[in-house]
Amino acid sequence: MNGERVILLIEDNMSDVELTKRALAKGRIGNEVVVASDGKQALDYLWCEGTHAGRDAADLPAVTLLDLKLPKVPGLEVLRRIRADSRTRRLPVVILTSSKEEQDLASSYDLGANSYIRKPVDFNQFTVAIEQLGLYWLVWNEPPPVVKVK
Amino acid sequence: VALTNPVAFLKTFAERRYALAVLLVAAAVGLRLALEPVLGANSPYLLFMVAIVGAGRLGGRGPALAATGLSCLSAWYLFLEPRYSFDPPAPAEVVGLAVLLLVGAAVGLIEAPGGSGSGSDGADSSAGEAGDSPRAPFARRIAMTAGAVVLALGLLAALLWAGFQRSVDAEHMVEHTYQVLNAAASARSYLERAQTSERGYLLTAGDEYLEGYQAATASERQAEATLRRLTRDNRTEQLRLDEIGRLMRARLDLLAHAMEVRKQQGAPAALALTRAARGGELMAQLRGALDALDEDEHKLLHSRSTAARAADSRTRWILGVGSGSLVLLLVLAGASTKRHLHRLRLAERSLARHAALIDLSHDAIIIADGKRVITAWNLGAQQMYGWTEAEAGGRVIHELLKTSGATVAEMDSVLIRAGRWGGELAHITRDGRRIVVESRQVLQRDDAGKPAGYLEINRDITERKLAEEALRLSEEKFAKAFGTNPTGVAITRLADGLFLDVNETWQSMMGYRREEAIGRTAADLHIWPTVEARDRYVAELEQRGSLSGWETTVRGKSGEPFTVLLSAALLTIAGEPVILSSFLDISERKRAEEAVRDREEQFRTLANAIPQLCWMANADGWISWYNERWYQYTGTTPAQMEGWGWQSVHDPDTLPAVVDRWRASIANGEPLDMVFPLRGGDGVFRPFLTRVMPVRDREGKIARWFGTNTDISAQRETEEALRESEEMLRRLNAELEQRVSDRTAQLEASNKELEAFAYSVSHDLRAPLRGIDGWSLALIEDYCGQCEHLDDKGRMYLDRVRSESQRMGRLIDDLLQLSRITRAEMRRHPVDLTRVGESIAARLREAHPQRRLEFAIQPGLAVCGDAPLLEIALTNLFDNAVKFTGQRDCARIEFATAPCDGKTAFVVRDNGVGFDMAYAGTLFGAFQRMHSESEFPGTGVGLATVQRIIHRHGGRIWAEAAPDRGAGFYFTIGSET
Repeated sequence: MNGERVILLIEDNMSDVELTKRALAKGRIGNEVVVASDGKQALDYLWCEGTHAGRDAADLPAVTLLDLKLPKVPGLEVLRRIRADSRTRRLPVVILTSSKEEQDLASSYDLGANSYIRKPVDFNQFTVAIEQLGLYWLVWNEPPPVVKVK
Repeated sequence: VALTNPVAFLKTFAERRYALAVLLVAAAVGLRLALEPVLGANSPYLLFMVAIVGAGRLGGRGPALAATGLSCLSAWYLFLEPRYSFDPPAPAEVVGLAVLLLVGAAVGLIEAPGGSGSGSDGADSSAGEAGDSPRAPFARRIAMTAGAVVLALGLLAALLWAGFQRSVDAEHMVEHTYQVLNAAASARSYLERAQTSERGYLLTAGDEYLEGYQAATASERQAEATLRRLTRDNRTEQLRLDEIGRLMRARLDLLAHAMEVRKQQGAPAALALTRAARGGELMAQLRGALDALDEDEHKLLHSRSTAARAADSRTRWILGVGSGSLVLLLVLAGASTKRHLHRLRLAERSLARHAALIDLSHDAIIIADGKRVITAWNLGAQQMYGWTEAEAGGRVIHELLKTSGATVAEMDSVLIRAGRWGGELAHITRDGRRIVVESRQVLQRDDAGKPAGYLEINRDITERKLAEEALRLSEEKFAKAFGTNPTGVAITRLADGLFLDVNETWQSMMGYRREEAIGRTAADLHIWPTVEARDRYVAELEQRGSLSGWETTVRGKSGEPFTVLLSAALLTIAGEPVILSSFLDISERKRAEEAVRDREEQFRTLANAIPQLCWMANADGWISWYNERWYQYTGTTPAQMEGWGWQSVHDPDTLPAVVDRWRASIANGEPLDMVFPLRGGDGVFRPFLTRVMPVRDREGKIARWFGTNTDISAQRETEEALRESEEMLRRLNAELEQRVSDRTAQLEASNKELEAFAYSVSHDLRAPLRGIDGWSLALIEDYCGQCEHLDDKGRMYLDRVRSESQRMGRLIDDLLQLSRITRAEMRRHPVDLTRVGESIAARLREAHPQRRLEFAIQPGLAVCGDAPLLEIALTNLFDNAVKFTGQRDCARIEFATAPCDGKTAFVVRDNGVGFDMAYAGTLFGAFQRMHSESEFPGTGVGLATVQRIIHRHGGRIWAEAAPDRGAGFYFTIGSET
């Protein structure tokens, strides 16, 4: 259904990136995974700036997986900017992090995260989590209408 | 009433007036009947008119109307045709009767209604007053009278017109009768002439006779026709004319036949015929008929002439009576109007006189309408209140004058009930003065009796009030001065000391009541100790005229002598010299002086006994007295110390300040409280606490000062020592606080570090673990069985890598929980531990469906604590219990209270493997384990977490166990257990 839309993975740990891709593959989720290794890159991609200039801004990812601990622009700041911009304020954002700190949870939901998933150490569990996440956001969830930008 | 008791009926004036009306009508009837032979039936009304007018003049409207009614009935019955019956009279008479009725009504209207004649009040008023009682407005009465006159005139005119018409008709009828008679005579003469002509012809046969006969016959016919026409309306005459005509024709036929015979057969035959024929008989009949006709007509003529005369006469009477009535009516109306105008003129003159009087009056005379709006305001009012009539007019009285003393409602209620009100009111004049007036008010009512206005007369009695008040006050003053004088006052006769009057105080002082004293002498009452004492007193008084402060003893009724101070004056009352003496009982004062002396002695003893120095000063600060301690301490003498001599024992350095403070206290009356040194007799200065209090008299004025000086040298030393030790303590405290705050800062810094560390651990340490686990699994999945180097053994190693990394993850989680528990904020609330325990038990049963778990949780376990933390602690303890009972068929886990050192502790006990108490020392340390990982998996953080939670609640935790005998974990929570 959302075969043409990408998954944006914002993660600086390449091991986690690979594991996430592997888990997606195991879950038979074939959407293209775009990786941003820091917050700046992620925002450039979303807003078609910098190296991503010329990309169609209306073509938003089906879901964005966001780690909280990121170089340059921290995860919560990335979330805040996504929500503050009219083009991306409806973008589904899932927090995918190792932190279980109550403060991180509260801040994420306050800033408008759609979901918060804690990465388990056990890769089997991690796989199940990614698989279900992909299934939910790419198959069951109705994507938000595109924000018209003049 | 009038019928059954005529005497009573006549008693009241009203009834007498009606009786008069009846009498007058009766007199008119009698007189008219007496005049009957003279006047006949003509004009019966005139005398009645006189009776009605008389009744009206004498009795007023009611009797006039009554007389009118009676007159009409009498005239109708007695004088109208048919007489002596009430049959309907001829129309002309009805008109006459109507005129009588109308004129009577008009008279009644002109007259004022009599007091009781038409009204309902029944007052026994006189005839003169009848016209003054409330009556119809004059204009209305005039209009009604004019209406009656016009109506009467109209009727009179109609009556006259009818009479005239009747006269003309009657004359016409007479003339007509004459015509008939003439016609009958003509007929007779023509017949005679025809007969004569026929005789002539018969005799001569001359043609001239024939012509004469023919002319007579024609005229005869004509006369008959005329007769017939004239008597058309008379049937008798018509019948008679028929007969006459028939006879006439028979006679003329006979004549014609005779003449024919003469022409044919000659005269003799004709004459014979004539003789033979019955011509003579016919002629006689004809003459008889004509004679009858004549006679009838003559009778008719007579009666018609009489009727014509009568009609003329009646018309004249009507004219006379009608004009007479009208003239009478007009005269009456004129008289009434004149009377009214006269009254009006009198009223006007009286009003003018009143107005002059009103302006002469010094009283304020105010006339107001029904709403108390001023309509008139005399000169007196202007002078009293200051407003002119023009200014006051249109204002409401009580609003203009700001009336007080009685409300409008109060006055109105009296005015409406009684018609007048009188009383005192206070008014404010134009220039703001308040004056007291004696006010009299009268309520004016209109004709309908409704309140229409107020007449108010106010007399300024302010001066009088003030004078009265002054007099009253002066009398009261004397009465009070005498009656309530606090000294006993007696008035006695100079000559013999006879008591004339005594006041209350004297009575209570001496014990004699007023009645007992008056009329008796001082000697009678044995008031003076000796007769000589009074003689001396009187002699002194006579010599000097007045005495004051004469001290003597007197005796009262009780016989007990007491001291009084006498003051006296000689007066003359009613020409007799009297003594006005006032007695002041001073025995009490004497006793008081004694008591004061006693108290003073006591005070001096006391003052000399106390260890302090004390002294007394006058209000101006002059010290008049020191106690003996002062002289002992300072080693001075009273002579040195008197007044301001005390300065010599002061330290010259502090003396100016002391003097300043002392002078300030004297000036403003404030107590003095200060410490200064005083030199002792040994030359040493010692600090003294000095307190000086003002002593005030009854008026609050300072009478003197009382001062004490207390030696505080010992106290000073103690205070010094105390101050030093306090200073040291304060220094130590400050150091301690500094240290504590330093430590707190360090602790806060390390807490922050710990938090940062925990955050790193939770995030950064877990990430590599996930990598290790993930890639190990990738190896297993991707390469196991495909590569000879990665056989089952290799796979087992990779599994080991994975399980170790997962264990590391759990360790990190537990450690994080431990750290969170340490940092978490505590919120204490009542917690139902039984419910918490039961929910944990339910979760455990669910998590271990294959296990047989028996929980015994005591009901009603409750503490005050942080619910989430306590749940974590209990979860750990229950988890442990379930874990260490894993080898039992039936795990039994108990949660209850247990007594401990008189307090209550909670215990979680199981029937598991237990442990050796010898190793229990490290039981609650982190990562400390009692069993091998393979036997019972775990991180060794659980009990450390539990202990941290219990400690944070101010409690204690300990264990009791033995190998294979189960374990019990005891804990207390704060002070509640």
